[in-house]
Amino acid sequence: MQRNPSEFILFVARHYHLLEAMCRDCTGFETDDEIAAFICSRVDQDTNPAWKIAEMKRLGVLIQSRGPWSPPPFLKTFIDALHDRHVLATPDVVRGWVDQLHRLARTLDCWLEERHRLGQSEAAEDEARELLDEIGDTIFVVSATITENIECIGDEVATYRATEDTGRMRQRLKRLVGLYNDYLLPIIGVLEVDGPFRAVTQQISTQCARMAGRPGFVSPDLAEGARRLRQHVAWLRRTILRQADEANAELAPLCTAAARESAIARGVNRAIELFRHGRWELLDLDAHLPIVEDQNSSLADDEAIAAFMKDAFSFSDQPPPIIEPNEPATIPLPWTPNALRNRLLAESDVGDLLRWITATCTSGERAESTINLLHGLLNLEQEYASADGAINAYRFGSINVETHQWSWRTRHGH
Amino acid sequence: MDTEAVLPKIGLQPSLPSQAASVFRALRLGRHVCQDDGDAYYDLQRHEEAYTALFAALGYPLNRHEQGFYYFTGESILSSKRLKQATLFMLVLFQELDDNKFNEPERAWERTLLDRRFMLRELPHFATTHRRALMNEVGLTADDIDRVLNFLQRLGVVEAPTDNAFHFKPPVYRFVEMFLQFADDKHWSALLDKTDDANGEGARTRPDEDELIDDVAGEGDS
Repeated sequence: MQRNPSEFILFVARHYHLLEAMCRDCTGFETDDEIAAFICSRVDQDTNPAWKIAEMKRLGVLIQSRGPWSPPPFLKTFIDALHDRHVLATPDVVRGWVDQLHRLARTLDCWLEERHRLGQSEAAEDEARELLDEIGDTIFVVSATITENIECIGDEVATYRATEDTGRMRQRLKRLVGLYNDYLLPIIGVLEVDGPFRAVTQQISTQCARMAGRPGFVSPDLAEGARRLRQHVAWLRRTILRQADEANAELAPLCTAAARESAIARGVNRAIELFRHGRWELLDLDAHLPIVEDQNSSLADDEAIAAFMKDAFSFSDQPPPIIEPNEPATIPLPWTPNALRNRLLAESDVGDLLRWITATCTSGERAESTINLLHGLLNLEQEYASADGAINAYRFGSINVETHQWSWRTRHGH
Repeated sequence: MDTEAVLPKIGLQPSLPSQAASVFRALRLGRHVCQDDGDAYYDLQRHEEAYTALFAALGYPLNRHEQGFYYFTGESILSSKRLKQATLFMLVLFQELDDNKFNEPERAWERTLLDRRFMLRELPHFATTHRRALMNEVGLTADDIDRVLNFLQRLGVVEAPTDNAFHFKPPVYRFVEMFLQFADDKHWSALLDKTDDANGEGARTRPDEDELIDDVAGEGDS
């Protein structure tokens, strides 16, 4: 059956959204009921799906290749390409609008020069009004175009995140990377601080300030128009920049990760391919991945360096404490009355207790200490100590002490 | 030798870092010292300048990787055979990760590389004839996986396997970067073309990967 190409194109044009959805989502229809259900789910209040189905089959928009009905592959390819190229305004379109703004700004510059030179005239004011209107319209178109692009990109990101089919995810990610590189980055290039959009809007803003800022330079209504345009330009510029930044923040991490992982995967696949062909030596691992392994050799070949290292590793800035060669002497404990008593209990009787204490405590106690020891001993043990009435003189250095002679008699001595 | 006289000449402080001996031993054996190595890493980080000067004087350039680990480069290089086996192990694993990334919630694998636990029984290296043949090509059988992992563990690339699973540590990025170099190297294209011609084959990479890279590079459809 001969088919008419122009009829085909007309049908595609009239039912573009339906066919675009069919190419994107359908995997094949077994029956007309399935096709009708699909049409009804995509087209509100379709009164005659049967006619549409018949037309699709007649024109070859749906073909039956191996059982199910589906759009022909060339139509899918065509619609994909259309979608890629025409859903978003290309950066060249945006640049074209920005160039138009430059031309308008130059014309406004000339008008201002002329005005400065020749003064006011009614006709010239009309010309300026038209220029301001055209500039306002053009900036609005630039803004709307960029906003639409950015909204489309946002939708694509959301669709990618919601996609569950693995094969489709790969396609969606590829499309996102394309949008990022082919649309968003060039547009950000146009918008950024040293880009042409910023320059031209700054120029227009300055021109408007000249018109609105000098009393009597232009008529009051023209001055008011210039003031409004200046505000409008500033607001649109801010809005567009914010939108572009937001889109970039959303898309850049996805695309950067995708690009990096793709590059790694490409390197991996290339390397595996070399392994597969037994040409792994071409990987040149020694150069690409040098890893030192010095397991068995000495620290360094040069003995001087080795000696230095030994020195260096044992060095610290605080010298260790010096340990004396001799052990410290024991500290003599001072005699106590108790210790004397225990000693006396172990000894035989003592005739002169004070002289005995003086002889026993050889560490040079002073007279006062010796007398205190005698006094303490007498307080402690009165049973064995007794004085016989004789007064004796005792000499401690330069001190003479006179006291009764005390003696000690232990029980076993009786 | 007068240590105090020599140290300032090579730009060192009079006192050496406390972990100098153990750090040197580890690095000299090929280890990549990262945060998981505790005191050794923190000492390197604290005294990076002193360590760099000391090791450079000894002929061992100390490198700090932006992923947060240190390693030596120098003349005593690891034997090719073990490195070749380890490289192929990583290649196959990364290929599997990339092939399956769209089945993961993240839809990406590199950013989760250090968080992921790899079960030994799920490793893809011997799952297909093609991969088995590749592994056999470098003398590896399924029983040798432990040996490769032990080797990678000694280098500090993987954590010691526990419960029949292992995970990567930051030094794995040395392999990641090597594979990125393979993707970028123009010389490689010529080599691979020659290899393909010699074998009468055309396809050397997966078309999807080429397309995506071309798109990212801005050479795609516009």
